[in-house]
Amino acid sequence: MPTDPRLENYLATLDRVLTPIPVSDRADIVTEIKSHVLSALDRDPKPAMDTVLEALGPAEVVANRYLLERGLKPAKPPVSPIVKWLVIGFLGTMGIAATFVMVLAFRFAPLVQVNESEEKVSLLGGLIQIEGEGDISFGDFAKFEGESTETFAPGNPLGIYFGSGKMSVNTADGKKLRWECKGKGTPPKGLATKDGTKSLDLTGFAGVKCEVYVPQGVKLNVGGTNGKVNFEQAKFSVDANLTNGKVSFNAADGTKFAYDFSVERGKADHPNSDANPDYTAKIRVTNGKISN
Amino acid sequence: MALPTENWRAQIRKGYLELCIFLLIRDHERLYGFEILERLEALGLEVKEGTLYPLLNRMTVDGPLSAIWETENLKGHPRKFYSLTKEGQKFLDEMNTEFEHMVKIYQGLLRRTK
Repeated sequence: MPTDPRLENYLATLDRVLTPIPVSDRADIVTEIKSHVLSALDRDPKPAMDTVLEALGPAEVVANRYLLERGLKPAKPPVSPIVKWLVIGFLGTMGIAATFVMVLAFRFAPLVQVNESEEKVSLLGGLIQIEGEGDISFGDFAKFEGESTETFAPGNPLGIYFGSGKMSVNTADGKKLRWECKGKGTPPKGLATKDGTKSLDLTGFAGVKCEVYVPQGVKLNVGGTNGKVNFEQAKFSVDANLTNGKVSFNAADGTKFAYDFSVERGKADHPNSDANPDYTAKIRVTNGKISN
Repeated sequence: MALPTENWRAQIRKGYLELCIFLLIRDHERLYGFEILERLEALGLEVKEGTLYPLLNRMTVDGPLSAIWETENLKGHPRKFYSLTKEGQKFLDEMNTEFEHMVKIYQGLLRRTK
């Protein structure tokens, strides 16, 4: 007669939990429990198999009683499948997260590098760089600094062009153009000639950041797409065009300027021009702000 | 948490149950598990199946009981019959003496407190 699968499952669980007991004794116990169930069904066929097994109690509990009676350590209660999968899911997620962190640590090592002489902190292998008073830049930037071989007399034209970034334009002490920049890519080795004007062409760099020192009195032409341009202590004429961003203009003390600021979409200060100006400051911004 | 009386009952029942099983088996010379269960129940001592079989197993391993598998008839399934060993008979005598002694003390105490 084929055995009921519920009884088979019950006996299989009993046998599994009874593992600490020698195999011959275990088989004896399993056979006796099976005999008990069949006796109960023989005596009164009415009760279903479930009722007889329920009266016996859970197989794990019965098996643990055998173990306890023999002075053996009872087996741990089985973990519910939901709990089991929750634990597996949690550990899996933690494993993936740990692997991700390890890959990041390997790819971007050293995580933190402090350069005291340059007052610079590099994070994640140079991906994030913090300089000076907290200027933060992202990416692997290279420094490029230089000085023009040419000299510029008052009234000479000079161009500075960039794609995106931050430019700080100051008045130089001498007659040469000087720049201290950083950005991605190969730095320019000198000035280029654009539309017949000597120019510092930085349009091939993304996120360029520059301190530029312009000889006094030149006619400076500045062109940029996105970013910020600060003219500091200006003692030169400016004709600047920026598509998106901010421009601030500060004239050097005692220097007279004729101002012409215009913003298509945005806001612009409109300072009064000085009488008998030394220089002109013509600035155009398509989207953004001009402040004085 | 189990009540104190339940703990006490569980403890005293275990030893008492063993004594009753020994006495039943001695009276019938040999019995199988399901029979023991039915006879104890008929006497008013209800025992869970999951408690009786591990107890019988331990009493066999310890020596007071011996067990033998038999098939009553060709159609029936095998049954494990328990009987007392010589060691078990001696153990039962000691248990009886001890239990009678305990009962006397208990009854004496009951009389004094009445």
